[in-house]
Amino acid sequence: MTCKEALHHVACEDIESLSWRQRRILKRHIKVCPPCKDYADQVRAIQRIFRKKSRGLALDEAELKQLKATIMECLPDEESDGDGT
Amino acid sequence: MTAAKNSTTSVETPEIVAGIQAQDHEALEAVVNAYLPQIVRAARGAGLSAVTADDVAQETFITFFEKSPTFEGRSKIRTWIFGILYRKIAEARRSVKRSNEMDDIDEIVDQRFNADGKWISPPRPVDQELYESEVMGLLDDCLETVPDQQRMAFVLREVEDMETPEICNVLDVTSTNLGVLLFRARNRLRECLESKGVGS
Repeated sequence: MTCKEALHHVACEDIESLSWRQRRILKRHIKVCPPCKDYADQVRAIQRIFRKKSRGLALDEAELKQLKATIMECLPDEESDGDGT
Repeated sequence: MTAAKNSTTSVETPEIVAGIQAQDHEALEAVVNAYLPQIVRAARGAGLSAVTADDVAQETFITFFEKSPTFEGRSKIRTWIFGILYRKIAEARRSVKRSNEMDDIDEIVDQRFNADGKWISPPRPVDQELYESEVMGLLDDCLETVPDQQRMAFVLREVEDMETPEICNVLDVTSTNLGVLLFRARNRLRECLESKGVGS
């Protein structure tokens, strides 16, 4: 396995599609190849930071309540009964 | 995360699906309650401003209300709503005239390897703590360089923890295409952060 192939598998997240043997080769390659290990570490770190950052973007309770109220005003008119009248 | 997942899976029931089709207010409200926080977070994670993200979330649910009688229940409710969100984000982006015609990330990545697939220019090792604090501040700028579809794939995978088949349904891409989108998003972010001196 070349470094470029290893990088591709890490970034594509296609590990699940690899055979057991290919996965073992990939793991071993990353373990013994310092730049590939650095690359995999960086990708994981970016993912972790992105997750942390994005989760911090959630609305607080008051904002959420206000937005929900605005959205609920847009609900379609309720039918008076089930027979379409 | 588990608690969030539990609260959302509770609306993924045949009763709620029937309620959605009948435009039952309680069912529609239950869906809003379950998915509004995720929708807003994903819209913001996709790079929209707080105000635009709120507008897009609102438009997403208005479309959801309008189309609810046609929902056939073939996908999860969440997948359907995120599909609407994805199109609304694209519309919002188009309205501010953002173009990302050429994807040069493949070329940039290729240049780092020789013909044998070995590193010519290896990534720089990083100090973890410094990396996190620095990257947090620089990430915003770099996210702006990630095209919408790649960024949305990244958001759905990393923030919403969606599985491959669900993301493929939302973005209407094959699993191979999704791999390419994730590959490009990750490499674009990494290359951008490295160009800003992170890790040096």
